[in-house]
Amino acid sequence: MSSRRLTFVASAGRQCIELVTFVGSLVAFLWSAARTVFRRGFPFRVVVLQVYEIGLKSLPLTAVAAFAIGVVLALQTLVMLRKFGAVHYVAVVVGLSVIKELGPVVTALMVAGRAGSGISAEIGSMKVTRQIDALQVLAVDPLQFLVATRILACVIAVPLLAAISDVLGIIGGALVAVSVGGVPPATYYETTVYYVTLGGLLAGLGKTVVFGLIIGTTAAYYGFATEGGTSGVGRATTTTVVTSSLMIFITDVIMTQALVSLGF
Amino acid sequence: MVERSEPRAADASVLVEFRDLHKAFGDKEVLRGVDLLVNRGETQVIMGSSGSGKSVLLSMLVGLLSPDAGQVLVEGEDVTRYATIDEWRRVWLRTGFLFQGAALFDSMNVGENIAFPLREHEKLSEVEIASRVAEVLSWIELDGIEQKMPSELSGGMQKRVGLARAIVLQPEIVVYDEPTTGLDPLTSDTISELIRRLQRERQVTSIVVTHDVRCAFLVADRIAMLDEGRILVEGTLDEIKQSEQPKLRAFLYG
Repeated sequence: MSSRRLTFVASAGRQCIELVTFVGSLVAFLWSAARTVFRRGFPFRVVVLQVYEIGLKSLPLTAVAAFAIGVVLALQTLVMLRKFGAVHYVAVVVGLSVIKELGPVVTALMVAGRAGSGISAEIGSMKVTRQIDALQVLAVDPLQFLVATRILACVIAVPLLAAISDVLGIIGGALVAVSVGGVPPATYYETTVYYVTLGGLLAGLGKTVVFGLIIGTTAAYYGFATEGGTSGVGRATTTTVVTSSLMIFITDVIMTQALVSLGF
Repeated sequence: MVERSEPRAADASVLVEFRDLHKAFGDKEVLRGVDLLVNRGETQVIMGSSGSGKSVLLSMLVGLLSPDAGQVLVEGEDVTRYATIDEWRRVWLRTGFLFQGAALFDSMNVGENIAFPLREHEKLSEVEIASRVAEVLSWIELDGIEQKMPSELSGGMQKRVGLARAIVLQPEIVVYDEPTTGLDPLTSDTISELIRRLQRERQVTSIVVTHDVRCAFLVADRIAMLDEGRILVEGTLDEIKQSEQPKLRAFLYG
């Protein structure tokens, strides 16, 4: 084997080892945080505050994105469906695309960009200014107070936001279908209800629970690992967004394959 | 005065004991066998140049760092063997810690910062919490600033609020990591006076890490000087002032 090929194999091997090590650290970090949820004095009030911070404050962004996706999807699909005289099927395309894929994935990406970076920056700043040490010497477990609360809040907030995105995406598609495509509102509604099943809806929302877990864990992990002052905080936030976005895409592929094989 | 070849023997008056502590960061050996006794109710100052490992000692006392070898004993119990948060909690609840940069929670206002340990560890009504916060703010002579955010405070005020948060649970031991660093001489004296007052009025045991000689002379009952990873000299304030140890004299008087 040529030395060039060996170098490539070694590099790929090294990257695989790094990936496995990273995933292992992330799972270990998540496990350490998850165990604190069952310890006495878990600060549920912080979870409520974080659901507000992550959820309500991300809502305008995810709502606009979901509505725009519904509109664009309907506009693009109408062109094709007109040729086949099946414009009312735009409701199927929009409905299934939004609830199974676009609603969950786009919402998760938006939350990763907005709230994930925020969590990472907040915890990272606390790390470099020794506020996390201060928490510890005040006998408050940072893993419980800062990490577990934020992961739990992401797990709660992302599905809620995705559910709202689903509704808004379908409304966006309906507006285009009715106003541009001339589909009667009742037909659009009936077609949507017929094809969009509860199982499909729950499968899509189920994926967002995993996305929430990924966003919260990745953001807190990189926040906690921050070193090197304010530039370190910047690096942590960027890495959080890139890593959690990639992980959302990869887990989406895996979960979609699994759900399709299960008949969803 | 005691030179490190003959450490003081521990007795009932000793609350904290650092015993043969070693710590290295990579190749750099920061502590190379530190022995130090801290008497109950006294203010022990640990002096030394920057990077001499003074703050590392404090971090070991509260579990933020573990020694490579040696022991940290609080009332004879080796805290370096603690493995669980519940064990450490006993140390944390009896120890207040003033960080070099105060480490106030910048998402909370002054009142919330000081109330934080009360909310976490004591079952008090909001009225009682507000009263305890006002009381401790009055003690540090910063009445009525509960609503201010940490970013609105000067460095000296942040340190005083940090001290208020550290003592609001009325700890038995208070540790200060460079309490006057970055402050002007007048503000430094105010902080030093607070440290002294706290020890006088509440009989707390204080451990002050500093390289500020003026602060050390204002607050100390005893002074230890850390040099090259070991305690070079240790003694009462008067003994230290009269010491002829060349390195100590160079550090104190330039």
